[in-house]
Amino acid sequence: MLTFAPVSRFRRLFIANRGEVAARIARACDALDITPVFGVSEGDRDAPYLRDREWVVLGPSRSSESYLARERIVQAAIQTRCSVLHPGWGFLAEDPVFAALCEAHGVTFIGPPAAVMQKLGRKTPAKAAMARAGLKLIPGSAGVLRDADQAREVAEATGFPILLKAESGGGGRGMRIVRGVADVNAAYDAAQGESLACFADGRLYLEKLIEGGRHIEIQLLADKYGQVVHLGERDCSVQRKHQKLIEESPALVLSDAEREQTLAASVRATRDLGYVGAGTMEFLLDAGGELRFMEMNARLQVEHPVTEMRTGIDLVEAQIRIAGGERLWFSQEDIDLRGHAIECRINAEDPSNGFSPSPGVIERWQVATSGDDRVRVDTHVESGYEVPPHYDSLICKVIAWGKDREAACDRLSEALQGIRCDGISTTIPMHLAVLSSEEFRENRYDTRAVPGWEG
Amino acid sequence: MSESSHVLRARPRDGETTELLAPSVGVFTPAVAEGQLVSAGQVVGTIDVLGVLHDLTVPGGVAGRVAQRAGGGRSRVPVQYGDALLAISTASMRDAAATTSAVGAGTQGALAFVAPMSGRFYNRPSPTEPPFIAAGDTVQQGQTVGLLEVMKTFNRLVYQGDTLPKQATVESIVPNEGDDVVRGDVILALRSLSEK
Repeated sequence: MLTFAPVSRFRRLFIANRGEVAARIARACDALDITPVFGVSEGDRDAPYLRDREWVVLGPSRSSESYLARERIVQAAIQTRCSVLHPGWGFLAEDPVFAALCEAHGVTFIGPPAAVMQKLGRKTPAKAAMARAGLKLIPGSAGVLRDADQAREVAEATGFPILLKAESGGGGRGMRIVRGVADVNAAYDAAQGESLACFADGRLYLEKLIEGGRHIEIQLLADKYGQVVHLGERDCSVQRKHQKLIEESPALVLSDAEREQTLAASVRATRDLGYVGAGTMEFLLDAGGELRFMEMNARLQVEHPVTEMRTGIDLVEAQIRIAGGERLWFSQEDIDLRGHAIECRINAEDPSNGFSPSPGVIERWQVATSGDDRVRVDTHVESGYEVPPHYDSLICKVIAWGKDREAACDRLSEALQGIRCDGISTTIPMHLAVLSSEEFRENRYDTRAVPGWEG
Repeated sequence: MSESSHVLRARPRDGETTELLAPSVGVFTPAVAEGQLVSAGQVVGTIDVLGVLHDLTVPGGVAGRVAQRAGGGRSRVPVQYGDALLAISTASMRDAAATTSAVGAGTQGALAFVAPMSGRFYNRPSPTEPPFIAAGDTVQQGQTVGLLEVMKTFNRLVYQGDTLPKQATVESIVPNEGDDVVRGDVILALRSLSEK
């Protein structure tokens, strides 16, 4: 009998990241029979996910000398004989210079080509490309603004309130809300100063501020030969200060017509861009029920398991196989979006104390495992693990699937109640409150406030 | 030819040996042989990080004979950050090395304000602004004395605690700007107002 083993020309893959995503990438390597090599900082060298693995210490705990040190990382990949590198999310995942450096030294970078990444990192060219493909935009300036005077003109034509945003921005920095013409000058100076400091680019553009929308995003997958598919949408509207807390699919607040039209246009735009690999287009769903393009993330998303639970497609395996030159091995018609999936992010934060960070030693970590394949727990922690103070606070994600939203939410609640974490505070109590709240269950909320949670 | 230079970090292995540690992942090429005498300021090899050669120099206070080299006799040795590149036998030069370990005993038993959690310490609200507090200042309960960056968020360090006096004079600010501190590390060395 003929058997088809997973195909891959890679034998050793360098993981240029840490924590949960590093452990996640290693699992995909195991499935593809690839040896993962972890590049780690001094502070992570005793992490449990490195046990029985190959790893190399890049530099000290501070990210600028380890997880953000481009030359050290590529040197380490070469030195450990890796021919391909996965950047995970955050850190250097969307850095075109790093992608180009990898390629220059013969290490395949898992992600789109550097030129595409560069275009997506600059917001106004990305928006123009999306408009050409038929996606709707948020009204605002046609490109970057010349100065505060032009900002005032465009703002008046657009109508207040408006949002000033950094051309090279991200993560909510370099952004200012302006509610009246008198405030434009001061806000312009503040946003420009902040974006110069954060992104070394003081250019700004302007959009109408849409308050209280829903955050919807579309998962895309493209091979190196121009074949593109979508894997449905996700609703990520449970947020605090632009940080996503809960993500689910499908987005029930979306009309079927708007969903179909936007999915098709997103696939077109992705193909037109020459995009390669896994990517996500983010939209704002406005009061009129229309999806308006915000930005495209050129990387794997934290919430990718939501899509994996519905489609049965492993996105990290797909990224690696695509980087190895495989053609997409399924078409749009083959993708079956089943049931409802929902994820919550468990962070080392105290939700009843203003979400203050809570690093430290997890004295006891226990997850009640029922062997139910409709529940998935992605984590890198275990009893005795010390959550370091140097990095972000994500320690675990729990994902549940159900035949409908009710069933998925019930199953997620049950799974969360089965987690025991002693020693540090986590966001689990907040998630349980949200999941049992009427606002959330009845889908009556937006990105401005966490439904069912005061604080 | 080298393009930059790194002073190696030293770590005592035992009373008689000091290890010099790799400052980065990379390929180490030693420039000294086993048995050779080395001293502070001397270039003892290079590390190649993606084609850029960095000179590696012996730190102050270290002198002795090369007892061991990473990779044995090999000329290009792949290393990771923190690996011991050279072991220096200081037995014959104990007097010279003794001066390096005398710092840091001064704050023992005195008043101290310690870090409530681990993180990165900053003495200023932003690089262009004046520091929250300086040596010689008087500090009062409730006063912000610095920032602690924990998991990418900035937290105000507030001088407070049952065991601390209402007011005290700042003897010194122990960590440097941007230093990583762990919970319990001394942030401010203090003296009570009555003392001189």
